[in-house]
Formats: sequence, structure tokens, C-alpha cells
Amino acid sequence: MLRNGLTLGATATLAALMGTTALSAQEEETITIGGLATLEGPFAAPGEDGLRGVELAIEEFGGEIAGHPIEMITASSDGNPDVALESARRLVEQDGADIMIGPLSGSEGIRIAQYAKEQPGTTFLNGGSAAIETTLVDPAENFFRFNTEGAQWTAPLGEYVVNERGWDNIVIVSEDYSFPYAQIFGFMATYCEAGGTVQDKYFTPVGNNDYSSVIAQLPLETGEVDGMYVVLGGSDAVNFLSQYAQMGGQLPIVGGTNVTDQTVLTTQGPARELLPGILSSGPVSDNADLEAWQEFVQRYQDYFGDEGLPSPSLFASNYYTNTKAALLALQEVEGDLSNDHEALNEALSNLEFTSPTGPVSLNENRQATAAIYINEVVEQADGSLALEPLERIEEVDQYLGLGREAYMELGLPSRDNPSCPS
Amino acid sequence: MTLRRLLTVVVALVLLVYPFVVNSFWLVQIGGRTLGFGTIVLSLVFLTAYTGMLSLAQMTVAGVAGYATAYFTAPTGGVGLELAWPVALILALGLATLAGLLIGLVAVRTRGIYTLMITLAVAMAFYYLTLQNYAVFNGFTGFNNVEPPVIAGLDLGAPLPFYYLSAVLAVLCYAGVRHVVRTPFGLALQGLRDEPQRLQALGYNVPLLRVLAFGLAGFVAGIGGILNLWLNASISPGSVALNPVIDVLMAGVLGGIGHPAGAYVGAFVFTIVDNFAIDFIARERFNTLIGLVFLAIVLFSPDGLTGLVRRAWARWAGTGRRRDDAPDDSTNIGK
Amino acid sequence: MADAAVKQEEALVVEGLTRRFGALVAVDGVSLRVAPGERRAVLGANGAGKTTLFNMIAGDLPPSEGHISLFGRDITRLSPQKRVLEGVRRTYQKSLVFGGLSVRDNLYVAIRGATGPRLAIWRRVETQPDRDGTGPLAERVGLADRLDAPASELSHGEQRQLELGMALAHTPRLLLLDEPAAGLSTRERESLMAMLADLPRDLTLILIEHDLDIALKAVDFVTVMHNGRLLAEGTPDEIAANQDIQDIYMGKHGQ
Repeated sequence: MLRNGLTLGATATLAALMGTTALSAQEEETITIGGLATLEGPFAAPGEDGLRGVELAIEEFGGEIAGHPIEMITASSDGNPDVALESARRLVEQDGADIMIGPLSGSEGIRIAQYAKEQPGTTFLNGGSAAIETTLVDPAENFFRFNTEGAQWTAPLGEYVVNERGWDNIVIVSEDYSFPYAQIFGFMATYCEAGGTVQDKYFTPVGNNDYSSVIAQLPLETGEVDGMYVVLGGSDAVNFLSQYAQMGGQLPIVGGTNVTDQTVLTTQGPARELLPGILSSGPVSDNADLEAWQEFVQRYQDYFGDEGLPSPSLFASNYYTNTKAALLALQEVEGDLSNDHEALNEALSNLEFTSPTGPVSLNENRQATAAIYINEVVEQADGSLALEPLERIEEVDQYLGLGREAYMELGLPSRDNPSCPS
Repeated sequence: MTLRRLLTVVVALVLLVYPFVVNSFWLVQIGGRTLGFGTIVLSLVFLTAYTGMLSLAQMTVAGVAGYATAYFTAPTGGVGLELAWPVALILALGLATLAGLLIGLVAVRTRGIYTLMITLAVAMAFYYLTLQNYAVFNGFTGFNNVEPPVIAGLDLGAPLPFYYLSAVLAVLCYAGVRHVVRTPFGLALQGLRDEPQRLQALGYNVPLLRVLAFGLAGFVAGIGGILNLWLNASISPGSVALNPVIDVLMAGVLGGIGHPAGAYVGAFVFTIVDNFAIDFIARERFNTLIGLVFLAIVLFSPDGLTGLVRRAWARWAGTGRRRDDAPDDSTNIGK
Repeated sequence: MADAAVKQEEALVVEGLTRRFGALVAVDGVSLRVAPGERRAVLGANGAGKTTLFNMIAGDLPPSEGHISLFGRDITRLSPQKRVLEGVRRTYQKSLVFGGLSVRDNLYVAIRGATGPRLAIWRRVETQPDRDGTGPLAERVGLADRLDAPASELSHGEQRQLELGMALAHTPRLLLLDEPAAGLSTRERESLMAMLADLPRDLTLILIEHDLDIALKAVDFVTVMHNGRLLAEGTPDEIAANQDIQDIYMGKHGQ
């Protein structure tokens, strides 16, 4: 049996070799970029859009850096860290990717960052994943994240709702995994500090369809509770909001970053009526007067036309940003990958550039520091919904402005951490 | 018999030489995974071939061993209790065996499709438990950075040592299964498979035998589960979700659930398809391809690839040479 | 016959044994006494309750009422496995052999079952000393030259022989044969009769048989059941001479 496998393996290797030879007609060696995203399962659409971001960045550089042709190969995951690791191993160890871009979801990212340690000869850049631990806990030397993560996105919002809206008692409804924990973590870090309290947290499994048991425990109107912080994504957000609206729920809503994603804002049906007025925060804002973002949107629309989404998603932007960082650094070192990418990794660590969401730089953990928007969902003239920027907070760093020591004292996010001290 | 011996030597040689002709991807991701995952499949094949019971909970039992190993060797975020690795591994295998026994207890009065359904229910219950329990399973995140031990300077997590570790454990499990089925206990299991009523009338405690078979299968699955854990360096609810649970059955049927060798053949083919199908087919059709390969095998060779090979072999041996008149020493009983 | 005192030397005493399945009473207050070494036939039409009676004696079914004792020991509540250790063996109406195992392994499973330890896992059967017992056992039931054949490849007659061999493993004290001659050719029946006749005289034997000729030839004493009850008991000659029994039995059976 193993003999068969070897033949198959040889065929695959041969195919890969042939691919390489065909492209290296030019004098310099090809540099291979491996794109890893969720092309199966519930995050398939964001995954595809993420890879569009990679493609767009490579295209922007004309497909080559300092004479080195850039080849893009891709592999798929389904959101399961085991599968992401398997695909990453394939891209790196079998297909010989020099630079990895990915993965998309939080827990996958933690896994891939650990894998990076096993592969010092490959440079890893994050795709869209935004879990805190990836670049905080024992970070890998060759893993770079040029996008901000889940806690950074929400940190400014906690303070904002207390100070600007006067809400100091809320309930939280959230999916039960690492990314929402990070969002709650960031939110509560400043919310509690500003004097807010959390009445209760309700966690539901990812992909839940029936929220009636949670909704039964929620207040329908303001009273003792001022508002509700909802950290759900995609169909979970739509299902929850629809069911809450149908029960006559009217609590003001603050959303996690995914609640005001385009996939939710374009929904029809009962959830739609709850959407205008929702506050949220994140690295992008539809109506921000930011040249870099508009340029990016234009480039995206020109290149993909009808094949892409009407407007690039956050994932396209994050994958694009990370790929662009890799290419800029490659340009700086003229494609020098010698000595386990020493020069490239050095260049990446010191790189500062303007991403679609504004200036970005890395800290000592190779985690991005960048601007965050506080947004409100508004109805546009044409009836569609968009994010209107209320505030732009510059240079939100990994430690949420608390400083490294104070931040590390908070511990890692979980269901119970943090909790506002009363 | 000499042919059997020859085959053994060839397999041993291939296992030994394999690391020196492949890259690290083929060594770990294909080789290591085939051997670790194959051992989990072996536990299913053992149950099916020798006791006539099907179980969908073998990945779950493997997960118990994986989680236990992670819990006792790689505490994370306040979850876990660090122990010396030999103690941790003994505990992990003990818990996997116990899990097997408990599943056996639950399934002991059921047959056929009902066993399948009840073990599936157990598997899904365990999946949701790992997802929602934080005190022991650390919820959605599970355990990351679970590294195999370093023994006397030898890092078992490095590709080559890990491959050989997997190979040795897989060979031991395989040989163990082949041994057990030729012991009085193993014969009784096969009696259980053929005529449980008869076995009872001969003085055997049939329910106890069934439960013990599940326990032994749990032990084997536990070994596979630990290898799987180390391969991924982590474990999370996704490792014991519906997909991997079904994968075990798929690999078993692919290879042939009538013979223990089928477990590894199935695991190998499954791993190959899993890793390379994406090169030949659009990713949206990826699961369709796996389904079609599965269907084709079930349709054309109900006893899987090993059955196909065995029949081809029998035909060749039957026409090519006069068949040996001396009856086989009945060592390959197992249907 | 209904002497209340249980005498020590009786091999099997069954008292007021009853089994109900819902409203149906399959066996209704049956009492039997079988002496050690006796050959007894239980006759009766289909549905007379013969097999149910066997199931209760062997422990496969718990009785609704009544008691069973074996050589003076009450075994009513004993598990089937324990009864095997007490020396009770049975065969089934349908051949139940382990098709995936060789004849030798079938017999060996039987020997182990009667002697233990049944769950030994360290040594292969080839190196187990008591495996030698399979040879003589096969010889007793005429399968000495078929030891290595898979049981599934045996003819129907050979499978019945194998069943008998399995039931004879170790030292049975009470042998319950459920229609041992069913489906056999005339020649096979004769050799079966011979085998039964060769059984040690201290072995107590109860057989269910449809074939009156066989039954009456092979046994010392006959019990006739009808609709779950005991209809009559007597020597083969008495039963053969009893016209009522002949009518009922043959009438039902002859259809």
C-alpha cells in the first residue's frame, strides 16, 4: 500500500516541480505564497473574500518582487484548528510555501502560530484571525499580525457607552469561543474601568438556531438594564436578532464587530428593524472619509467586478493588509530569503505602512497597532445600512492602552474573565 | 505461509525505509497520521471483525485519551494538572479503557443499527460536553501546545522520532489485536460474533464479553488518540466532532472492516484523499469526491480494499499454482 | 409420581414450573423427576412448551413460578453460565455453531466455557495445554478428520455433530438435546443414535424429539406434554400403546 502512496506522492511532487519550472523562466527564483482560509463550512464566504485580498495585493505588485515571480497557492480549512494545521503543513512542507498568509478564524490562528515555531524557515503572516493569544502567549518569532485583534477592536467602545451614552448596567449575549471572549475582554476592560457593571452573560454555541431560552431571560425594554452587548457573527446574529425582535425586544444594542458586518447589515426580515442605531467598533467604517480605504475599495471593485462582493469585507482587508506587508518587506530586502528569512523577518518587524484602515505598525510581539472606529449603523439615502463613524481612536495597541504590565494582570479571556469588580 | 512472512518483511522494510525517501510532510502528515489515525480505525475494525459490533464512538474514546493526556501534561489557562508523563499516559489510557467499558455498558443490549445510533449519541454528547465544559475540557479552545515528552534528549515530537514512535505503537497494536483474537478470550469474542446464544449456553457471560471487547477497543483507540493529539499538538471539540467521528467509519469501510490490516490501508487511502483531492477537484466538490470514492468501494468491494486485494490474490493463487492441500493453520480466521 | 420429598439421588427435579408470556401460559405447572443416568424423551406437538421447558432448565429463561434442582441443589436462580459449571449442557433446535471458527476452535471454546478461565488473554490457544482435549472430543462425535475445517463449511449433519461435541465438552451431568435429529438423513440419524447410545451411562440425558421412533428407541422413559401441561408419563412401551397419545401426537404432527 505504501508503495502506491509513494507513487502518488512522487506524482504530486512532480506536479509541483513542473509548476515551479514553468514559472521560473525568469532568472530569479520564484517566491511562493501560501494562502490559507476557510473555504468550507460556515465561514466559506469570508474565506473566499480573504483570498481575494491576497490575490489583490500580489496583483498590485505586478506579480513579482525584485525579479522574483510571486506564485500563490491556496489550501482550505473549515474553521477546525486540526484541519487548518493539516492544510498549513501541506502548504509549507509539501508545496514549499516560503510565506504563509492565514488563517481566518481565531482558534485556527492560535494553532498556526504555534506551528510557525516548528518551521523557522517559513515566514507566517496572519490572515483574518483575531484571537488575543496568537500574538500574546509565547509568540512565535516568525509569526506577524498586521491586523488588530478582537480585543483591540472593542476596547474603545466600552468606555464610550458609559461616558457618552450613560449606560452602566448591561447584559451580554455571546457565542461561546475564543474570538467573542476576546471581544468581551476588550470591551469590559474599559467599560468596567469607567464604572459600568455587567448584570449577566449568556453564552450560546456557534451555529445555534433557537435562542428562545436565552431571550426568555432577557429584558425586553430598558429599565434596570440599560442595554445589551451582542457578540454574535453571521447567521447567529441574524437568528438571534430576528427572534428577539419577534418577541418584541427593544433593548438598545451594542454590537461586537461581526454583528455589524456587511453579511448582517444586508439581511431582510425581522432582524432588520433592530439594526439601525446599533453601536459597534472595529477597524473599518463604511462612511469614514479615509482615502486609503476608498482606494482599496476601488481597486477591489475594479479587479474583481461581479466576481467579488459589492464592497470588500473586513476579511479581504485583513488578508490584503498582511499580504501587502509581506510584499513590502520582500521588496525592501529584494527577495532575500537566505538564512531562514532573517532579513525579511527583520524588515517585517520594523515595517510601517498605510493599510486600507490607516497607518499600521507592529509592537515587540509582532502584533499590529492601528486605529479603531466607533460606529453607528445608519440608514443610507438608498435604504441600505452602513457604518457611520462616531469617533476614530488612533494607535490602539495590543495592551489596550493599559501598558503591558497592567494588561498582563488581567489574565487571558474566558467566559468568566474579565468580570467587572463591583 | 512463506508468502505471509514475505509480506510481513516487506511491510516492515517499507515502514523502516519510508522516512528516508519522503519529505517531512509525507513523513508526519501522511505517514504519522496514517499510523495514529489507523490505530483508532483498528479499534473499530477489531470490534466489527471479531465481535460483530459497530461503534461510532471510537474517535470519542480516542478523544478521551487525547484530552486526558493534554489535561495532565499541558495545563492551559488554569485547566489541567501537570503530572509526570508516564503517569499521565497511564491515566489517559486507563480513562480511554474506562470510557470504552462505559460505552460498552450502554451499548451492550443493542444490535446492529441500534448500536450505531447509541454510540453516535454518546459521541455527540461527548462533543457537546467538551464544547461547553470549561473546568475540564477548556471549552471551544481546548488544549494547545501539547508536546510529546523528550526522553533522554530524544524529542518524540520531532518528525523522525514521532514517525517511528507511531510506527512502533501501530505495529504493537496490530500485533496485539492479532494475538488477542487467537487467545481463549479472542475465540470467545468470535463466538459472540457468530452465535451469542450458543456462547451463553457454553458458560460464557455474553454481556460481560461485549463490555470487555469495548474496553479493549477503547485501550487501542486511546493509543491512537494520544498519537493524534501529538500529531496536532492540540485537541479541541473539533477533534471529536461529527466529521472525525464519521471519518473513522469511512476509513474502516474503505480499508475493509473484516481484517485489521484494512484499518491502516483505509486510514492511508483516506489521508491521501483528504490531503490531495483538492488538487484534482474544486474544493466545493471535495466532500463529494470523498463520498463517491466511499460509495464506489462499498458498491464494488463491500469488504473494502483489503477484500479486493484478497480476492484478486485468491484468484491469482488459484489459477497460477496448485493450491496447497495442507489446510491453513487457521491463523487467519476473522472472516 | 408427585412425591414432595426431594431425594438426594435425583438428577433433576422440576416442580410446578410455569412460564407465562403475557396472557399466554407456555409451560403450566410442570413437574418432573429424572434419575441419574436416565435417558428421557419429552414429546409433544409444536407449541406444547417443550423448548420453553428446556430454556428454563438451562437458565436461558427465568420461570414465572416453580423450582428446579439439580442433584439436590436448587438452581432456579442460577445464571446460565453457573449452570454450565454445574454440568448442565444444551443444544438448540437450529444448529448454532461458530461459523467463522474452525471445528477445533469451536470445541475449544466449549471446553474453556466449561472449565475456565474463559477470558484468558495472555497465551494463544495453540499453546494452551487443555487444547488437546479437542481431539478426543471430535473423535467422539465423528469429526476427527474435520478438525481444521471452518464450521461454516460443514454439512448440516456435521454441524449437528459438532453441536453435540460442544455440549459434551468437559464432563456434563445433564444434557438437554433439542431435536438433535432434525433435518438429518436416515443414515445420519442412525449414526447419531449410535453416538447417543455410546454416551457414558452416568450422563443424564433429556431430549426433545418429533420423531417417535427415535425417541422411543433411544430412551428409558417418556414425558408427553400438551398445551404447556404434562399429559402423560411412562415407558416407551406404555406410550406406544397409549392410543390417546398416539392420536394427539401424530394428529398434530402429521400435518
